[in-house]
Amino acid sequence: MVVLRQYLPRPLAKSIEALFTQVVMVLVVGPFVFIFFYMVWSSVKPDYLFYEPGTWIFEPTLYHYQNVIGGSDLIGNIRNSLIVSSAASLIGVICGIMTAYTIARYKLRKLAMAILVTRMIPYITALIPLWMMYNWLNLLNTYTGLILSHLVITIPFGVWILIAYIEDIPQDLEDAALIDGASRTQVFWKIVLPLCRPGIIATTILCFIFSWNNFQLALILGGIDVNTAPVSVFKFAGAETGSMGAMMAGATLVTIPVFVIVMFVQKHLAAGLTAGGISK
Amino acid sequence: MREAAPKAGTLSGLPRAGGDVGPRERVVNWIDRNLPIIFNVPTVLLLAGLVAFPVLLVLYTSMTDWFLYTPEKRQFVGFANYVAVWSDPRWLHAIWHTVYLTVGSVFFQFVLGLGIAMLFNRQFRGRTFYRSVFLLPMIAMSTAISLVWIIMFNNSFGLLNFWLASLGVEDHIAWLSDEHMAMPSLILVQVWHWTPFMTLLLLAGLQSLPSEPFEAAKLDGASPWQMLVNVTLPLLKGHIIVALILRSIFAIKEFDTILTMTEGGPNWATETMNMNIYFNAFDYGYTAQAAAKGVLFFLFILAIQVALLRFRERQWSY
Repeated sequence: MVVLRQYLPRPLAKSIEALFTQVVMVLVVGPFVFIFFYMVWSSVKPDYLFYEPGTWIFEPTLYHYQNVIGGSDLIGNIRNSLIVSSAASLIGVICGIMTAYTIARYKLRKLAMAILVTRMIPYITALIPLWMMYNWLNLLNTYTGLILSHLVITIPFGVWILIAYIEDIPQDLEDAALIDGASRTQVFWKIVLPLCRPGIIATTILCFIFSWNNFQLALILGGIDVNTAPVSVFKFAGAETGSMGAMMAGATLVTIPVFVIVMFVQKHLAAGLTAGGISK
Repeated sequence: MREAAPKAGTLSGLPRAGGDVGPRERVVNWIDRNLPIIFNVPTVLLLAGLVAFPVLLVLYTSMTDWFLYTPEKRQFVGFANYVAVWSDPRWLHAIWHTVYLTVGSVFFQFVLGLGIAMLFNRQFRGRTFYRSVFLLPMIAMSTAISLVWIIMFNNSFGLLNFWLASLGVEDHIAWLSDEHMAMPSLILVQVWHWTPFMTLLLLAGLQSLPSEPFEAAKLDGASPWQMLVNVTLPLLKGHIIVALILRSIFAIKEFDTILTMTEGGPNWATETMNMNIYFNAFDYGYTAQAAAKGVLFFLFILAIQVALLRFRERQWSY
């Protein structure tokens, strides 16, 4: 790039550099996005073309979507997922904001560590005893059981993310209200919650996505009545009769809505995912 | 989180304005005083029931001879299961497969992730757009993208073999059905799925670095390669170690894509620890032994996580 600047007039060298950067970025990001393009484009590919992977231009068909929606339990399972993930993310964030507030303001380090430890336990280790407990309590294959189990994802994650948002609220604001005679509960309702709103919304959405994508909990604790979307999609892989177009249509139906939701939390996504990654 | 906590309901020891007047005030004061307890009741109860009690139960189960299909014959056997698992060849292989998958996928994620993070660490048009598109694999449902990769990997009409054929490689590669190719194929999927995450972690590190050392190196006429090896990497060391450990913990626990794409096969060549515990506990019914393996698996991850926490604390302390 430096070489260009020596031999060419500056503006020209600059625009060539800019173009070069764009080409490099497309080449780098391309392979990561290609899989999604391939998924969507294959979901509208007619069946007889599936044995010609090199054919890219064809008349798109919605046949596979009709098949998947009408002929499989995917839509019902997406509904189950919506119920479980919404409930789990709401409860998780409500518990999370209260705990996060006390951790941030009363410096409850031990509680914070304990919550971090719960996030370290691999699901499979917790699932063996959970399955036994659910078996005794008749919670297997119920919404209640599945929602409860998803709280293991959403509560710790919610607490961890929300602590940062609460610490961003100036303590002086709360102190001023306390001096004016407000109670702690009032401070929480009237100052902390309104100021945290963007953070709470972003956390709810991220909790929803983590719960939505979780496969292992529902695979073991779910059942025919409450199978979630990931379990439904997993079953497409083993189905000998299912066509490839149907597989791709199913994959598209569960993936693309999440991408749309994520556009609303664009700003918080990177920070949330990094913090959420402290433990899957 | 270092200074002493102020007493509940008071501000630096001063009584709250108003004092106690009526019974309503007294209730409010009581709530204020006990706020840290009241606010944590739901979280603590739920996590105690869903995490703490199950952990005790799994510890107990791992010391019995519980077989799922004959639950009435249950005896305490001490640490026998913890000894027995080491004579299970499939478990030993599973440990090796876990290490293989983890080291393989994290290595390539790191090399790619560092390069891409350095690309993103400059100003250019459309940077936000490229970055948000690039993050999409992270939030994609793993079972769904496994389906796409199953089709990509298909022996006879998969896209990868089609491309290889058009490059002149006529031998079809059995990506997922060959014992030696299955794990590299899974690593490829892992690299695709999680390189964005590695990039995100390293990019955060790069953006926190001071600019002076880079300017100084530039003035001294350092080549880009010298800059990378002598300036960027040493400065980024802390972030790199944290990112590597975080990603390793993810990779060790990987389950969804393996179950969807290979179900641990062919011939158990892709069975990781997580998969092995799953099969033993929920397919074969060896509950007690699976519980012992689950505890070992947890300790395995805990050891790595403790290393991470210690490292982070050391970073904080200076």
